[in-house]
Amino acid sequence: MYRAGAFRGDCVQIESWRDVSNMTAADFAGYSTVVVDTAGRALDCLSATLMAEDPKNNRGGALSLQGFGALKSTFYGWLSNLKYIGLDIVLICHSDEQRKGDELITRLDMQGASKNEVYKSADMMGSLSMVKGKRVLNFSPTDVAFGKNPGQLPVLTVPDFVPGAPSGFLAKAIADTKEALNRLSAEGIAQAALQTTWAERIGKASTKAEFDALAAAGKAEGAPKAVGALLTKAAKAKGFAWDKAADAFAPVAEKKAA
Amino acid sequence: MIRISVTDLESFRYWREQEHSTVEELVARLRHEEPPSPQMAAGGAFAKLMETAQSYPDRSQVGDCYQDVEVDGWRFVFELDAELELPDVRELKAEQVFQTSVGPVMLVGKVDGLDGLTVHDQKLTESWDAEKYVDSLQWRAYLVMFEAQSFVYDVFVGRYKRDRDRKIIPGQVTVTDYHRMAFYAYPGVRADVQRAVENVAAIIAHHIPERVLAA
Repeated sequence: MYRAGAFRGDCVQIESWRDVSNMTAADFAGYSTVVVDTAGRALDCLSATLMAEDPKNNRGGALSLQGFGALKSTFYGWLSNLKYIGLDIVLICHSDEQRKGDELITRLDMQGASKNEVYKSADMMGSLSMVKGKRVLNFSPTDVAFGKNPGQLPVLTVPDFVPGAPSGFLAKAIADTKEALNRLSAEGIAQAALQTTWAERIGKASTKAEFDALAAAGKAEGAPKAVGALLTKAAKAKGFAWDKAADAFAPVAEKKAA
Repeated sequence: MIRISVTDLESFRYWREQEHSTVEELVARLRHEEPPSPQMAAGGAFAKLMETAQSYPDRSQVGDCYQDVEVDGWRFVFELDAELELPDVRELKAEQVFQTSVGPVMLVGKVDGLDGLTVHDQKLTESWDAEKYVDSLQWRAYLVMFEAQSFVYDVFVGRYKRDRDRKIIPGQVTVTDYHRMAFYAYPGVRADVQRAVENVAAIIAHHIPERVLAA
């Protein structure tokens, strides 16, 4: 935050968690996104407040087990509240290098169970790194880094910032992902309805001829792959298995003998 | 043709992450020579419970909730208040052929549930560690095999009874917590699964040739 200098947007410098907890919906009026820089530092602030407020949260100057529980619930209660008032949330986190087998992998550098909650609740997660002299943001998981990329975004090159001319870089990535999530939701509902329709059709079949006819109909109608799995499952329950050579179902005993 | 399962891919990933594990240990896993642990047995019983659990499309008609259920010799005591979205389509098998340097490979697997473009998998675990699922090949493989867009882990945290030596006493799991975690298809997911299949197939072709079948 201090280093952002001329490129810094509107910000609230946090001295203690009270500066955060005292903020209301009115304080966020006119803003669509809250950026926490960094989430680890925010948790440090919150930890200090929790230990000061309740000695049970403090064990020798560090959080007790109860304190960690309070840390998780307070931080995520606050994030949930931000979501409730309609804000997008960006958590900036440092990464931690860990050895796994022969590889060095990166993971979130955050304390306690809070890290689990970030992995669980984030819709998109990406890693910022330097590649061939360029700063890139990758939301896809790799062999060494975590990621969540429902928007199927390519590796994004982070543009240089120009004072007074915001690039809208991250805003676009968020908007693209939200659009993709909405699209996926609609497509998912349509696919679920299609699966239900097919499940009903398949549920009425009991003979080889009926299963063969459904297989042919599935091909002709370009049914999704899941329908094939549903058909195979239902046919198996009635004693038929798919015979690839014959391109049709066959009684299980007959197929085994063949 | 080599037939491998999604579980084999996970065995390979687990082995690769263990710095001191040997090829012999991986081969034993791929041969399924290791006896199932109590956790695996409990997981199997829990999967059966979820497969047959009643789904209520209308909230107002929700029937008896699970509190204490017995399946296959395991008693599951639920000490949590949670709602779970159960897909109508459950226990669905899939298979997909991959072309590899050692010939065609049939990847097979079974998901706990499918809802439109979302695959569901229920896990019973002793501790909730989100990072355990981040690198998993399981969700990647099923996203590809079902041409799905998202994969949801329904993670149940359970406590086993243990003896003085901390060994599990089979028979009861107290379920205390539930977490839902979603992953999504991404541009390189198919290539990642292809690479994993290639790696496992090469190991099987070399070390377990009896699993290479005539196509």
